[in-house]
Amino acid sequence: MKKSIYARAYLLQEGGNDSNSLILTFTVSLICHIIFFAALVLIPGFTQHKKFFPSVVNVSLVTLPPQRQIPGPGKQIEIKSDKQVTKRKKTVSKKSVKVDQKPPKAVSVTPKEKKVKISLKKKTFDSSKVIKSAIKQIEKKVEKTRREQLAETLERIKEKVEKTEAIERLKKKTEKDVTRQASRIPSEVGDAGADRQIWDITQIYKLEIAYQIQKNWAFSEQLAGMRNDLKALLVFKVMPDGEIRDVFFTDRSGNRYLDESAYKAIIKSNPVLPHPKGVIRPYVTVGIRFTPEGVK
Amino acid sequence: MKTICFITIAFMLLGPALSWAEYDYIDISNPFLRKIPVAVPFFKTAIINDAETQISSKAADLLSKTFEFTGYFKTIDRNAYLLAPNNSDIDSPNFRNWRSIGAELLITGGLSVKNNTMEMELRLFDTFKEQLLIGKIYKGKINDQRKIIHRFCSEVIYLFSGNWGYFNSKIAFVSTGSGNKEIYICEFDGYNPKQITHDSSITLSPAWSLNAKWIAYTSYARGKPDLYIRHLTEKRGAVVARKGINSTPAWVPGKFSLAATLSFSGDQEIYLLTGTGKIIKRLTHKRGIDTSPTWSPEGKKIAFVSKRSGTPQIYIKNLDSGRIKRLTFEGRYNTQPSWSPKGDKIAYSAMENNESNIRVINVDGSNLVQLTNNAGENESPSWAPDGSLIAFSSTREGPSRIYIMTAYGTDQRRLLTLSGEQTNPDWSPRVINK
Repeated sequence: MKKSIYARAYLLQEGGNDSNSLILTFTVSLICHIIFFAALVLIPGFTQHKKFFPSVVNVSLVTLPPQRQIPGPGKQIEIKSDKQVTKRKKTVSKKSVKVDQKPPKAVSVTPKEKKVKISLKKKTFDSSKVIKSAIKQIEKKVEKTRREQLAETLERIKEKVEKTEAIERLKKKTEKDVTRQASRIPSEVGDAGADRQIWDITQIYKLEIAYQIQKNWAFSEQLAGMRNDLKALLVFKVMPDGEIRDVFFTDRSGNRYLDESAYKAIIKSNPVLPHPKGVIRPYVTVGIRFTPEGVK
Repeated sequence: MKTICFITIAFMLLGPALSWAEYDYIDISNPFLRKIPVAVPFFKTAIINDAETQISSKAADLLSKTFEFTGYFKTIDRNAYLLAPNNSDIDSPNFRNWRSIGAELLITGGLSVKNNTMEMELRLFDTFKEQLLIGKIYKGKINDQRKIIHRFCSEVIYLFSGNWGYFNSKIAFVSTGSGNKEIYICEFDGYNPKQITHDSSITLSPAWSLNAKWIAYTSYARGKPDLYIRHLTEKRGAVVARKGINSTPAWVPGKFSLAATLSFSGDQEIYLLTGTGKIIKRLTHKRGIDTSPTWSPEGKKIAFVSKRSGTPQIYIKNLDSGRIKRLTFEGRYNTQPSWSPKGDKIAYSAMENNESNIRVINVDGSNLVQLTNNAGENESPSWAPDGSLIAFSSTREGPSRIYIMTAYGTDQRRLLTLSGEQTNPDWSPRVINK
């Protein structure tokens, strides 16, 4: 007994059989760990959870005493009441006095015709001049606001158009180049230049997919508490016919609502555009980082 | 041996990082839709008759409106449905149909009425996960329909945001509809406005207590500005009628006491009062006007308006340390502060270039944002109990009306239309009905 305790206590320094068994145990453990972590890392696929249907809950409302309502404009209402405040003067300080309620009165919420009073000022000043100057001021203000808003909108549209045109141009150019190279020297399709072109096409294709997904992304930043530090990372495969498969999270944001909205945006976009000419892979892997930036 | 251990640990730590690094990510930061598309078909009725069908469609419409009111959701036009709006399955809807019209959420409902008692079943589905998120059956009188719908909306908002929203809250405001400035209250969405004061004089600055059972306001009923503290349903109350001005009450969070501006000493200063109007202590001690207090949610600080620097500006006082710091430096006329329920922001009214606008600033003085612009005079901001909306008065359409907007200035819309002019909105805390 004593020996075995001794042996265990100095395992790391002892050679021979004990050391071999330790290494064996450690190796088996290491392999198991590697398999486990590899499985975690390489197969993090999106597994659909078992549907859970919470049971319906019974809620009974307690009815409060009916409230008096004010009818819409055009009706007279009678407000009853009321000595709203009792004579609890004893509880109030010396300087505090009880609230006196005046006798009830019928009150109308209909617009009342107001008596037009003509002031002395009106008789003496030139109203047309005042109106003219007011109109001038308003016009100036409206003009200024409109101009600014218009300029901003135009700038935004311009940027968007330029971006789209650039993508289109690049796409056409790359497609043309690839076709040219493929027809000229078929044996050299796999060379560095052609690879580069195909890589370009794939990148543009990915951008197009991202754009399609963005158009399907519905997310209320206010509901997520306007946090702009959130990000959800998702990866999926796009098959040659444009079908989206194997959507999975590589990093969740911690905000359930953002994660779900990102996932839904991808599912809504299915199918995306089919693979463009020149891409001969069995599938294209696309990674999207969803980062809400807040209300502008 | 050590090397093996090191490699193992390194593998464990770097594994996930290496796996992320193998993908190129494209950033998307601009959602195309900033509201969640939701479908609300008409509720199914147990018996098909005119009365029940009418109640069903009214309930579904109210639910749609309440969802839209939040600013978080966009209800899909019923004309776009693939099925007839009154023909949807309550328990197991065809999710593909709803997905194809872009609905991310679906609310189905069933309704049965018996002897003036109503049973309403409401279900919220995620159309993409094909999953029931919330399912409830409510029983009540037919008149309880609004209450049932609002309670369900609270559940939905809680599911998404973690707070219960403002569906059980009310808004007090001043209106001249009766010919005098009187205080009215209405529900959070402007429904059912009721006049609660009949002083036939000038009534101003309504302020709700934390349990929304008491309201304090300033009234000129006795010819000078006195402070009235009044229970809304019981015949109880008090008046603070000291010499000079007694105005701008603000209830202390969680206590039956309030801060108010009194000028009996000759200078407008802020005092802490009991709910019965007795002075507990003086909170400000500086020469010059100190007024319009608003409490931080934990009740340890007040923000108020002071002219101590020459122009009206907003200051914050820490009641524990007694330290006072100036919050606003932008503009020469900043008044009517309102502390957000989350405690991080203060909304106020800022006058610049002869125009009043609502601004929001962090309590540390950073991140100043103007929420209204070129839309008449915008004053008296007041936060919804969950901090997601702000009520304010505006003259953008001519006469002053009560408007609401999100805490970020979006979705500005009129709350209600009444005769006369409406000003001074004050949003009550959430009323908890047990």
